[in-house]
Amino acid sequence: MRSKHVLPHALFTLSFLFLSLITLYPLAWLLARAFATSEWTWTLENFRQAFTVPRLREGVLNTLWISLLVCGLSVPTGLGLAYLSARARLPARGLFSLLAVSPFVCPPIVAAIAWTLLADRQGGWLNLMLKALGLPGLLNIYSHSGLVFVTWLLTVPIAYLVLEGTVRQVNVELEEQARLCGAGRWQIFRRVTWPLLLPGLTSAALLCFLQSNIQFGIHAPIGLPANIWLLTTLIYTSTMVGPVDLGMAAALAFLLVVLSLIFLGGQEWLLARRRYTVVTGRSRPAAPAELGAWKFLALGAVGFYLALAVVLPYGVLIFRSLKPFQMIAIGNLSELFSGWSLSAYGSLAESSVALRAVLNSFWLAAVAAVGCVAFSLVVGYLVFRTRLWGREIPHALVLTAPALSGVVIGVGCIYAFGKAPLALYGTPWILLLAYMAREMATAFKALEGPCRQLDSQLEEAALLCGASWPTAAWRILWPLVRPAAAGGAVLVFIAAFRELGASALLYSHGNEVVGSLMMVIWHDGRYQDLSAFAVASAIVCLAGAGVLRVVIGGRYAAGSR
Amino acid sequence: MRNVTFINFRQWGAVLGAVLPLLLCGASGLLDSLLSPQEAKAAPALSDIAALTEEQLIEGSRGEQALVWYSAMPEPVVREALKKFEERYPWVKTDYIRVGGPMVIQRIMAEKERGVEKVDVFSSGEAESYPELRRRAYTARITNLPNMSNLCDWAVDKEGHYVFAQAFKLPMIYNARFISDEEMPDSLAKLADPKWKGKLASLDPASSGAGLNFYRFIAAQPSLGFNWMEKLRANEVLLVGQIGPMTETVASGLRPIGVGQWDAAEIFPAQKKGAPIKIKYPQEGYLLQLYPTAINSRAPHPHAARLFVNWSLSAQGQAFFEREGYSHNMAKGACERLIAEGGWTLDIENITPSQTKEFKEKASLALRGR
Repeated sequence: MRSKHVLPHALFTLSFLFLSLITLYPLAWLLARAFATSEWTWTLENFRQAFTVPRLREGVLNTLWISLLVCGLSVPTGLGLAYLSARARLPARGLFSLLAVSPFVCPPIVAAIAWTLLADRQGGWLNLMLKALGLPGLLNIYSHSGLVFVTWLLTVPIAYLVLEGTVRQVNVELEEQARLCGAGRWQIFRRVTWPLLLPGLTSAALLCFLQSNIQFGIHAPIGLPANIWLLTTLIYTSTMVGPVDLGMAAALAFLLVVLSLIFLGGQEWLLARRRYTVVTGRSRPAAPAELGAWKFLALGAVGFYLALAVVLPYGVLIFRSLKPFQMIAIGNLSELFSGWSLSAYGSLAESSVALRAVLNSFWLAAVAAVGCVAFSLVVGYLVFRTRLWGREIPHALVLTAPALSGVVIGVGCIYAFGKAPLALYGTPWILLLAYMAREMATAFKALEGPCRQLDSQLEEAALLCGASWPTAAWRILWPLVRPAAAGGAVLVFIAAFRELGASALLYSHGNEVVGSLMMVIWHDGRYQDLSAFAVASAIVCLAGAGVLRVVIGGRYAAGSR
Repeated sequence: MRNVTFINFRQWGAVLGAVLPLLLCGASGLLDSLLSPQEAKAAPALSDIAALTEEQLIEGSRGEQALVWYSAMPEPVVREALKKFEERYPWVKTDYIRVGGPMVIQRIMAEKERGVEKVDVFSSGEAESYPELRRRAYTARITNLPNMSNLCDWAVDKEGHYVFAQAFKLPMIYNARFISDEEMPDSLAKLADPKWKGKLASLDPASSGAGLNFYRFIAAQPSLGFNWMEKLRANEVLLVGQIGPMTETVASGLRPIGVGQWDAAEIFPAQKKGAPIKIKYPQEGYLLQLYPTAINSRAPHPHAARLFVNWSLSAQGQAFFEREGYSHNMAKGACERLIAEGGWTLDIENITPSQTKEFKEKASLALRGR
């Protein structure tokens, strides 16, 4: 039994050290810089400057309400998709996961560019089509609704992947018992299903909120022309245009951390008052439900979402990758369909840098995905199944870094890993640590719902039957969390594969990644090359995500039971 | 299953108590001195030599054999320039990091504040940061380079720490498929006419360093000023955050006219590739965006760094940039014309951060309305 006591302590020490290294250490450097001058003498000047930034109040309020609105839209959409994927009998359900996550593959800046080409009030394709049909061109991407819309499209897959595992884990016996006791549909939903979904829903909402907060790639190209100020754009315009001021940037970045921690605390407070154990030794998974005529409505809704999130933006990107310069027909529409060329793909195929970037991103994202899921499982085990002193610390460490944008994390990483004792700057390992720091929370939140739902009697039964703890964990617990682990791994893989801010700041020659190369091409204004690279890398990314899902998720990945 | 909360101040206190001393040791350099291998301190004091010769630089660079350039210039420009340099000095293996202008400065500052010395030469359009970099002693004095005398006096920092080796004009551009040559106005003032409503794009002074400087030029013109910016707002000008995307906005026809875009390095190369964009230099003159280059004061390859900057200042280097459409010629005899033809330059040495903040806000208000 001694090993049973040693293991949690060993896991705690390992996770505490590693998570401190990748999150607390760079964050502590950033915090120190927020309170210091460039010569590292202490000062409050950075905060004084930060709090006098024009429009700060407006930026904070806009960030809050836009992120809350995005949450309010993404979570129900993600829940609907998760329910259809996990509990409904629909054709091509196996493809569901792949299709539902595909919008997430598109880097925010690329999605924003695609939507400005589609819904610009003057020259956007959709508006031109509406006008050609004799309708007023009413769409305007440079607006609050445009900003919320594009962010919503990119956060739905997060909600979906977090909730899919939770929906699968809901014990249908509880619902059936309630029905036998005479409860109606609404009553069952309110009293049984809703409380069971709550951990997953709050996790999904929190992740969508965090992601929405830091989407500089969407906020800048859509928010700034629309005169909508958010914290991310304020940080950029106040500290990066004109003289660069890293101290003030660090001070402002911590406002985002504080905002996120408030919401994190809210989630913990909400969940700490209840028990969510539903997966016990007696539970069984739900059989797929027949939707009857509703099936067509459900398929129509899914199709509509996929048209908005995948078909339209990728359609315009594919078109842009084939057509140099011109996007708008002046007289005859047929001129749009002439002069197509595959030259951008040709140059891409010949570019050793592009190939290297894709390969580097692939392995870094895969390692980050597996690492994040492994550490999240360890942290989940410590938090939900032990009574170790300080077990909540790794939990909190996991959740602090994603509140910062990629560029700010990049600066923290340069401070932390620029010199000894951990001189990793200039190597791919610093990118790996930055990706893991940013995405650890994603993996943890994807696993949190299912972890909270597992009853300890499952492994206790196995231990009583003579199984060792590793055997019990492998044979009993792992299969139960596997679908959620696969979802978390896919999210981390995609997010790391397409990460831009930290990649651009931390990459070095020979260690180019997809994000850094995309930033270079975008800065150069080579939209044809950017579109071709976005399309090609999305295919690789989706293929990688699919493989990862099958490897980690096993039979659940294909949608079978 | 247990209910947990991570808000436990006692435990957090313990963690911070353990981590903060470590951090303080790191920040104070104690950890570095204990754990870092002894680094080669202080590069050869090349800045102290009165006048360097090309032979000295060549000799020194043969031992270093490498050069790292952080640049915000378009990637084809960076690649081609280094290729040309390598052709001339084949023993120097060059390497570059191409990121946006603010990110070049961010990288340099973060590296230097942490004591990391990776870069030799850096070029960024965020010119206003250069005096601060010099104040922090991050840049080396380079007035002793042999080709320094080729440049106009105003293209060299008064204290000799950076040079404007490249320059771009910021004229009006238009998509020739949508706007005919005759139709295109010849002055910025005419763009305030309501007939151009919905057709204009401009760099954003709030999110682009070039845009900020362009509107400083506008504010300095008696016939334009903030009043003109307000008229642009009435014409629903689209504010674009970056130089590159501005080319795309006009070339694609989303907005057929753009104001304040680099001609060299952006439009000239785009025209060579077939972009239907034309340039019109306005009657009011134009902002001449000067592009500073400096050498790291503790460059890992100080000779190669100086050799590269020296090459870019040479007649051959300047001719290369000009011929390929990557920059206007900054050599004496050519650079005077840039001013004589209506070029307006910004005096970056005499602008304070608070003035910048104030101007940015004012221009942004005029263009955005609130």
